Amino acid sequence: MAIDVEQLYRRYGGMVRRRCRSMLGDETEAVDAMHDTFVEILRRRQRLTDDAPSSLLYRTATWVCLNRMRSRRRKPEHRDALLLERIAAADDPEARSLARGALRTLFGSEPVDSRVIATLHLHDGLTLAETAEAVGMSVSGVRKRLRRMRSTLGELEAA
Amino acid sequence: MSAPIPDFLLERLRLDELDPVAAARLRDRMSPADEARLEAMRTDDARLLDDLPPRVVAAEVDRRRQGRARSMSWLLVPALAMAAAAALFALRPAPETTVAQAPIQASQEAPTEITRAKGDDRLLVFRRAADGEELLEDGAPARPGDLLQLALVLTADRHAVIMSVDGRGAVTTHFPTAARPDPIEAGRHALDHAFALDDAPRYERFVLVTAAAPIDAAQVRDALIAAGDGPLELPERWQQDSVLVRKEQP
Repeated sequence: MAIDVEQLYRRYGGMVRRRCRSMLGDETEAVDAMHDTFVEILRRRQRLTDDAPSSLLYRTATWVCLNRMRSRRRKPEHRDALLLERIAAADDPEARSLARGALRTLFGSEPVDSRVIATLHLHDGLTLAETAEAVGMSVSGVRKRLRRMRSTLGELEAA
Repeated sequence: MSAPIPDFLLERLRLDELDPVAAARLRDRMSPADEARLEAMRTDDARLLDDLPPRVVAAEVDRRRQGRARSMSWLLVPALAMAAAAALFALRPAPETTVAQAPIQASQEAPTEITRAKGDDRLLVFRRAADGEELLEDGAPARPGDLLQLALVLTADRHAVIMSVDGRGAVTTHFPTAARPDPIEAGRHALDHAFALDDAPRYERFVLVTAAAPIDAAQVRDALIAAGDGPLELPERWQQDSVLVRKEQP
């Protein structure tokens, strides 16, 4: 699938930057992550079959930011950020069990990173149905993933 | 009082990517505060496109995509990487001590020279062009929209901060963009992102500050704002380098 980055950015750049800014809390880093989001979209354009570009870009930006947060050493200062940090630090049990790289799970028919699902539902406040639509899964599938992620997050909290 | 509508749903409403039923349901739920958020998104969109034009973003995205591929190649052919690094350094004038000029005045063009001693850590500023990179000398002309890439050369393992100040006095932190408690290894390091020069008038001055111990970035910022074009007033044990580019208006 051919991608015109200028056109994509013109329409979705604001949304992507805002998403990155809200997760990372830093304008400079958000712009940097926005560029990385478009790079990720380009690198896997052959797998792009998504008919809802905003969903794909939003969850890709979420994934990029989660990975940045995971590599940070700075500790979060408020509760919202703390939850995000814990999600970022969590392993994706689904990806692990499937022995698949998390990166691949964003695209095509492969499963979405469970951390992205957890962020949308637990942090952003989307309902199960809204989360399911955003990631292209069934509600029961989302519920199952969240159950496993909650277990992982609980282990992190107890550690 | 109902909970605020999640950003994601507002974004999709703004983009007209919700199905009609979901969009109508969402509009019924919207509070004045949600309406204000939607309007703020529209304003933010317009500002982003002004600040970062699509062609600049597309070029940077392309550079990153190419850059990743190039880095992998370099892993396979380290000799070529060494040659490329040597070529870059050959563009740099021999390090000598020079004298700082008079402070920048509002009506003046920016002066050019900096103080540098042999063996110091260095800041490199490159301009990306269709045919490759151009190393910008201190005082080199540049235009709004030019895509700049920063790199630093460290003579030992050190902590580092890179900031810039423009002709309006706005300070930007280029490195680190997140907390970084460990020192950077000696050698040459390019920042992993480039940025486009904005239309702030007269100049953009970049500074690199390095030290064996962690650096207080706020102290660097304050010193940069106060310094004009002269050396920053910082602890003596901290090293500093500076490159100033003159803004030419199109």
